[in-house]
Amino acid sequence: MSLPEPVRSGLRAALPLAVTALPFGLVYGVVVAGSSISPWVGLAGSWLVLAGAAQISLVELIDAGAAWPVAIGTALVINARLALYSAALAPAFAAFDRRWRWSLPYLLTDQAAVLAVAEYRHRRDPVERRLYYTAAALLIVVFWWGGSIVGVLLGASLPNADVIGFAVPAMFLALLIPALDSRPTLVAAVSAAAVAVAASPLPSGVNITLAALSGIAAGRLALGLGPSQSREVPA
Amino acid sequence: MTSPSGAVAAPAHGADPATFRLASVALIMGGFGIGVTEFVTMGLLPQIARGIGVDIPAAGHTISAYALGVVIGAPLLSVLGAKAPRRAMLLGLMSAFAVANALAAMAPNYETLILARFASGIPHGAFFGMASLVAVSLAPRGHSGRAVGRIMLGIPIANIVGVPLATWVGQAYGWRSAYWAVAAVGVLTVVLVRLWVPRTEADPEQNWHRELAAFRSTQVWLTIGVGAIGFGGMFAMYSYIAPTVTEVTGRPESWVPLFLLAFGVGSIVGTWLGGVLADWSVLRSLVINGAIMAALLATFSFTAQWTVPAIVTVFAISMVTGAWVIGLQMRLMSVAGAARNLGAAMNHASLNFANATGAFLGGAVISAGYGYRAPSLVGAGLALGGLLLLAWSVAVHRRDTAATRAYGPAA
Repeated sequence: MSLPEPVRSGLRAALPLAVTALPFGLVYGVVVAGSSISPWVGLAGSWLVLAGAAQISLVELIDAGAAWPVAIGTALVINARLALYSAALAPAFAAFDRRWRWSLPYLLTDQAAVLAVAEYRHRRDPVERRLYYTAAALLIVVFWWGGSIVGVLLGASLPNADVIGFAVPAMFLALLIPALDSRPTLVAAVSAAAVAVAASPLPSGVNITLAALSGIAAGRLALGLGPSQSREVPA
Repeated sequence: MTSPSGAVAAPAHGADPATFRLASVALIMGGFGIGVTEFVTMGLLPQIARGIGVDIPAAGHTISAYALGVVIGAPLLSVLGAKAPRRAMLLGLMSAFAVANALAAMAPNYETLILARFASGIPHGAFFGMASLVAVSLAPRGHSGRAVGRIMLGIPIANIVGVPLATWVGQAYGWRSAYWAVAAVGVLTVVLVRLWVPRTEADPEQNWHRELAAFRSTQVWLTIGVGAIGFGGMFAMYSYIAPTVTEVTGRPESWVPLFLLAFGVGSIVGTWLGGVLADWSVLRSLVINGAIMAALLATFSFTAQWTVPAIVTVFAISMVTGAWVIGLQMRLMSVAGAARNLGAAMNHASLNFANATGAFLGGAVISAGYGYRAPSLVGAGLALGGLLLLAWSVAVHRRDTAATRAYGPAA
């Protein structure tokens, strides 16, 4: 691979989060297809507004016949959290040229913000930092675009509630992926997920309880087997 | 692990790394139980109302009762228990917690449920205070802040894993099963604390006169007031999230855990963001966060009718509120000066006062017939009230700084 190292690590870090942006884009596409708004206008939102939650709210509000100041005001309030992200990111962006400082925030999403602030502490070089952020943020955006296009095309053939019930929790859970930064947490998450799926025929809730317990146990075991960890257990 | 504690050969301060790690697990478990019992009531409000035979706003009083238990218990037990041996104190607090939750699970009628919920809240503040002191004494030198942060993880873990899970279990097997599960976590914590937390003596230099002196400061009272009123906004909305999902958004009960999950993830992201923003500017981030919080709460009163906008608004409210709490805690610790311990305990008390009043006022507007969109409008009003008090606090701060500059520090 000839890609520079920051680009590669940016893509690698963003991939699991980007994958969950795909079904979320799908939700948006399905909402557009089910509304009175033309598919082309809806898709234009994905590169003009580029903020999934605000876009879905806009489409729902306009479709419900809300006055335009109400629709725009709501989208702005829902997006106000991006102002908090940019305040947190300001030191990370301070060393960039003005053209990058003003253009790169276009790609800002919840996922990109979480990654960028986490990476800022490890990466001192501004050029490397810029490449990392651009690669990560762009990958997430491309998946979001892809998802919304597929959603509009498939349109009404997808049942609205099922798509939301799957895509929205997936996106929120993905925000926690950057916290899986050590082997024990990763082992705990993977084994909990495996048990949750394997035990799904059991009555409601039991598989999740089993998954949580086995995740804790597996994480504890992995912690005990770690290279620099002492295994003494005082009674 | 992020801490290099394994590399430290013989820490000059604190216990060996394995002891510290196991003690942390025991203390996080206690915080997890507290977090679940505090927030699972919101998820199961319709089941509790149906099961005990009252309407939703009356069931909301069980949320207020728990919060009042924290408000009264936190300062009282912190003062009374200051001289007690710490491990014994932790064991006593968690045993009482387990018993109170079991009583709530068995409550035969509404009055006993209210009393049991009040009793469940009493150990809350003192447990976190005591657990923080134990964690600091066991942590390697220079790791005090991280040790306290680690103990506090119990609440966000509860909001992401415990509360949605307990809500789901409560929906499937009855609301009482959720409180039984919490009582079991309490018993487990008692066992783990007994096994894994070393015996520690009380701090002989505890000086409550110095701590209590903080209450003569206007800034301390103003900051407590900002939390007690402004934070109520989120609770006015969140206390009635379960009936809002079924009545306004129009989704079945099985969707409620999804909203709770979004809330939990929002609180994790917000807590982390709050730390970053506080390093930038505590006062400025408090003002900006407060304004966004008020706007979001007002917005929720109409985004609540569409599923995705509703979930995302809940996520954003929880994120902004989480960041706001960190800013408030930093502000309180800086204005309380030498009285940091009581300052931190009073933050718990003021946030739970907000919980009680938020749940009460939200229930009052529902009872008055304004529907399930009204609590978040009340919440927006409370957030604005907090913002006004904050403006007053900033004005006092400016005047004091100007006076200090002109005449030197006050004697």
